Amino acid sequence: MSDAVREFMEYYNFLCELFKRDLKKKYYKSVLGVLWTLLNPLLMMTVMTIVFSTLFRRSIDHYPAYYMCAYVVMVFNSVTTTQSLNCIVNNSGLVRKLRVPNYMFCLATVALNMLTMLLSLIPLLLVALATGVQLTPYVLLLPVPLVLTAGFTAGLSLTLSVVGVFFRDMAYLYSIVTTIWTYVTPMFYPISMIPVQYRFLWELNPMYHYVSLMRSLVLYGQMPSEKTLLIATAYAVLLLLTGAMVFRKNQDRLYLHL
Amino acid sequence: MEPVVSVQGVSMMFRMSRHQEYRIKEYLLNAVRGKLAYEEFWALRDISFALGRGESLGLVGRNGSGKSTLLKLIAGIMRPTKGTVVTHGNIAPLIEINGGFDRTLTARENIYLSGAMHGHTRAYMSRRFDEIIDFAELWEFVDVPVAGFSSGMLSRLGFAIATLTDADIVIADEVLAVGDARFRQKCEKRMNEMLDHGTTILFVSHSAAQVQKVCQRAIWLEKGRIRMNGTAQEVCREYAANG
Repeated sequence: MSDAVREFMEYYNFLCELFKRDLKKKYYKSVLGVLWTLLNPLLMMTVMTIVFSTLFRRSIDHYPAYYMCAYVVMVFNSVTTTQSLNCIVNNSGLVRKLRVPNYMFCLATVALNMLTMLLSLIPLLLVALATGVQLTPYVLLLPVPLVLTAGFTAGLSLTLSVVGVFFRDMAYLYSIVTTIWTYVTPMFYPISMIPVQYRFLWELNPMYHYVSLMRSLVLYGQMPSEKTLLIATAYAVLLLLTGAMVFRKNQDRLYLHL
Repeated sequence: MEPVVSVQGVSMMFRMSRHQEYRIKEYLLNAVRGKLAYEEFWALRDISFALGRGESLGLVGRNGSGKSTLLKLIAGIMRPTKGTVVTHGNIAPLIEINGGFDRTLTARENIYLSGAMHGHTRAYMSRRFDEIIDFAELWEFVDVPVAGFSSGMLSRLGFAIATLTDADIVIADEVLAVGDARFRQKCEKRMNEMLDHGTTILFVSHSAAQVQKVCQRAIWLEKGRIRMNGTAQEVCREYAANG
């Protein structure tokens, strides 16, 4: 354990350099740059509101904010995990040169997307205010769902970054997974739409709980239920442990498959 | 004296599969057919040697004799199938001439990224920056993405980063194969300076003459085994005669 921590500290600087590099690549030559990151959720929200708000008018108040609460964590999760599939393969030039802890490539991807997620809080809060959501001090607890989601996503990403090295065509299959995942998470529809007898299936989905946390704090201005918090934390810890284990077990074999 | 590099009974086996296995569909099909067959290939067998501070070892041998595999094991990029590799100190590997760079980044950014990979801080790399660019003679191209660099320019940059950052062990694989005669001389001079300062050097070359210029000791590898281990002069003479 202490070895792992020492290794992390030793290469922390490398993680920072990777992060800076990825940041630069993301915004290099893109005229709209950061603005695009802020506009993207607003555009999606506008479309979804036009299409669905009349449909769910009775069951959902403040539809734009309802959708964007989910958007923030869902898009973070799907984009990060998709990118992590290729993060080691894309860095094979560096991996082949020198022994570095390869999970750093994955963590840099997660970190960059966390920044994007933080930025997307700005449009979320603006929309919430503009559409008359009563914000309460519970908004200050927003770091809790963000950190828990980041933990869950980081664990999943670590696992996928290993899988992506062994199976190069995983990205195609995984894009189907993320699409389905978006639909089975109550992102633009209310959970009440799901028949009661199937609802437990919906609650197995970790993302449902992260979305619920976001909505409790922003939309309903109240403390999330203990059950939701507990499940959200458990999933984050479980996935982080799984990711660490998968990586540890396979890291010596990665090079042979690049 | 405690060795800086110690290689004990190292063997390396690769599994070579006859199938394109990087696709899930094919993997599953082959698993169902029971055809996940591998062929074992032993790239190295029972290699042992040790190197102390300021010693230099040349590896000679034909293509496929396991030289590069051995260097990668010492650099820690791969783990040996059997045996142990123990190293003490900071390793600067120059293993693939065009590798180790991010092609979309400029020379300047690559210097900092490489530094970070070796555990050096930005401040440290800033102090070394001018010296590195001076040595690599790349002042005109500092802020050009390295994707546009020639292989000569890349190897100059790689060599400069590896040899100007106080590494304890330098691992050089055919680095002097590219670059003109003048730059080769400059590199040889630099390697000799480093040896005087106590750096340990592992050096691979097809050219026995170059090995003799840089190294005191040499190992001749043949089909993954040590055929001869001795002074650079003896080994190179034998290799030139019988290799």
